[in-house]
Amino acid sequence: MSYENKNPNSELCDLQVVYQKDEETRQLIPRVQLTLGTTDVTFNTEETYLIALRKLYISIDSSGYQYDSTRKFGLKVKPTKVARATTITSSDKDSGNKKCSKSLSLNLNKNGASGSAEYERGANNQSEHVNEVTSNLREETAIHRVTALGGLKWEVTEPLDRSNVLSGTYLNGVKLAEFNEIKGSNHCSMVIIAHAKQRDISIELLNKSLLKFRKNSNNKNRIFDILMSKFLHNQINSEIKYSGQVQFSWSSFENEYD
Amino acid sequence: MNTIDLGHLATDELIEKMTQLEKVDSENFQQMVLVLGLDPKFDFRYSNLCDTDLSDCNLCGYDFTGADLSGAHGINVKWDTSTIFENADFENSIFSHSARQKQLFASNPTWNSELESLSRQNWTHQILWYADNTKIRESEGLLKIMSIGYELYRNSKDASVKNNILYFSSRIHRELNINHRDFLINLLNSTSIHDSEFANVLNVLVSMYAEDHIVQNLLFSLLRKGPAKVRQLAYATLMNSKKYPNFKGYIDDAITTEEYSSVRKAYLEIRAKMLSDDCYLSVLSPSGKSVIDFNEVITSYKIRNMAKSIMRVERSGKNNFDIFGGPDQNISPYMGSDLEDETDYIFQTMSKIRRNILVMIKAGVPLKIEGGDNAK
Repeated sequence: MSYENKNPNSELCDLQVVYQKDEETRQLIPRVQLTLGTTDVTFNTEETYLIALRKLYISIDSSGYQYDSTRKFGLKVKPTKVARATTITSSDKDSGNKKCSKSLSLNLNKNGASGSAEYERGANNQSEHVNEVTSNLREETAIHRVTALGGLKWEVTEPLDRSNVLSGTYLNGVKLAEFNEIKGSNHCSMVIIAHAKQRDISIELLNKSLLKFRKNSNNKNRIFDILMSKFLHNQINSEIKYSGQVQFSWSSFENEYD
Repeated sequence: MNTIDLGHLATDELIEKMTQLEKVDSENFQQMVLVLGLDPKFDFRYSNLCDTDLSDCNLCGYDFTGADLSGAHGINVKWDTSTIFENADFENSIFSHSARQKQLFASNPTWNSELESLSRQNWTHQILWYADNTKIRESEGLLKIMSIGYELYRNSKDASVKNNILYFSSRIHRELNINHRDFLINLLNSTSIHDSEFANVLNVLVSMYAEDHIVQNLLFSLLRKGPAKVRQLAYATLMNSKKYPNFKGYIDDAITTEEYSSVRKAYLEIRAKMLSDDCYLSVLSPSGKSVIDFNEVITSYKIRNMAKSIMRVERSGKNNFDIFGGPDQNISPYMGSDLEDETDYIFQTMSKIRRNILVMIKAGVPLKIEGGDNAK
C-alpha cells in the first residue's frame, strides 16, 4: 500500500488526504483536508498579480473500487417532508344591520398560501361569520460550500458571494465517500485531484501604478488571463497538455495484492 | 500574503509572451491568438471570454467547451459545426440567436414545414402573413411567428420582404425584445449583408436598444470599422447614451485614430455642444457651415478667420445662438463700420475662442492649438 499527496503550490491549494483502510472489510475511506488561499506572480519585480480561485472542483478517479453513492459528502438532498402551519380563526358577531355579502380571496406565492373567506348575512337575524385561513409553507435549505455533483465530483464555492474568492479550510478531515474493493481485484488505485477552470481563476493586479501588461483592452486582458493560467499549469504539471483547467493538487493511492 | 513556492517570478517564456501580447497593435482576437501561438483546440476550453470583441475572426475549429462567452460580440465573425460550444455560456452574445433558433426549431418540428411552405409563397403573401400574425398578443404564438420570420428573412433575397420583416418585427411584444435584439445583432454579423441593409438593421437596433450592454459593445467594435456613416452612428449613439460618462475617455481616445474627417467632425460637434453652446461656436469652421477638423492645428490665423466668421453671422442677424453677443459675455456684436471697433471686436472674440478651445482640451477633447502643449 502506498500513497502520495502532491501540492506544488500549497499556498494556493493544499490537499491533504489520509487513507483509512480496513483490512477485514477491505473498505477504504479517504479523509480529505482542503485549504485554499492566494499566491502571486511577479514580472521583473515590477508588476505583481494576485492569484486566487473563485471555484474549485475535487474529483476522484478510482480503479478496483465501488462506492456507495448515497453516502457521499455534500449531497444536497431535498427534504421529502416540509412543514405546513395552518391557522383557522372563526368568530360569530351580531350587529343591527341587514346585510348579505360574500367575499373570498386567496393568495398564493412562493413562500406559502393565505386565504380568507367572509360571509355576511343579515335581516333581523343580524349575524356575521368571519372565517380566516392562513397557511404557511416554509422550507429551509442549508447552504453548502462543498457540494456533491454527479459521479465522484465535488464543487467548492462561496455560495453567498459568488464573486468572492475562496480562502480558508473548506474540508477538515472529511470523509468524501466510502469505497469497497471489488472482489477479485488484485490491484486497486485512487487519484484525488483538486482543479479549477480558467474562468474560475481570479487574477488581480496588485500594484496598479505599474501597469504594463494589463491594458485598457478587454481582449488583451482575456488573453492575458489565459496565458497566466497556462503558465500556472505548466509550472505545476507540465507533463499534461493544458486544456482549460489547472490541476493544483492531487493525491494518489495504490494497493497491490500478491 | 503567500508566495508561489515554485518560483514566484514569472518565467522568461511568460514574460516574452506578455511582451508579444503588449506589442500586438490590434484589437483583433485571432491575431493575438496567432501571434502568441495559442491552440484553438485546447486553450479556450473553460476560458473566460466574457464581453470579448470577436470581430473579423474565423472561429472554425475552436473549442469553447464550458467557456464563458456571455456578451461576446463583433462583426464578421465566422463559426461552423466544427466550433464546439458544449456547456458554454453565451447569453447576450452573437451566438445567442443561432443557438436559440436551433433549439426552438428542434423542439417544434412543425415550424420547419411551415417555413418551407411559406418560403414557396410569393413575396406579397409572405409580407401579409408576417404583418397579420405579428398582431398576436399571446407570447407563445408570437414566438413562433417571430422565429419563422427570422428564418424567412435570412432565406429571402427580396428586399421588400426583408424590409417588411424588419419593420413589423419592431412592433413585437416586450417579452420577446431579447430575441429581437439578438436577431438584429446576428444579422449585422452576417458576411453576406450589404452596406445599405447593414445601415437599416443598425438603425433599428440603436433606435430600440441603444442603452443595452451588448449593443453598446457592438457599437464600440464599429467605431473603427465600416463606412463613415456607420461609424458616425456608432459615435453619436454612444455619446448620447446615459452611460457616456463611464466611457468618455475611451471615446476621446478612439477618435484620435479615426480616418474619416466627417466622423471626426461629427464627434467634435456633439462633444462641443455637450460642453456648452459657447464651445460649439468656438469650433465652427470659418465658413460657419460645419465644425473644424480637429486633426489640423488651430492656428492664430484660423482663429482670426473664425472670429471674422462669427462677426459676419452677427452682422447678418442669422446667429441663433446669442452666445457671443449675450448680456453676460461682455462682447457686443460689432454692427458698425468703424475699423477700430471692428478690430477690437475680432480680438475679443479671438480671445474667447481660444479660451473655449482650452476648456475643451482640458475636458479631454483632442484639439490641437498653436502654442498649446498638444500642438504638433
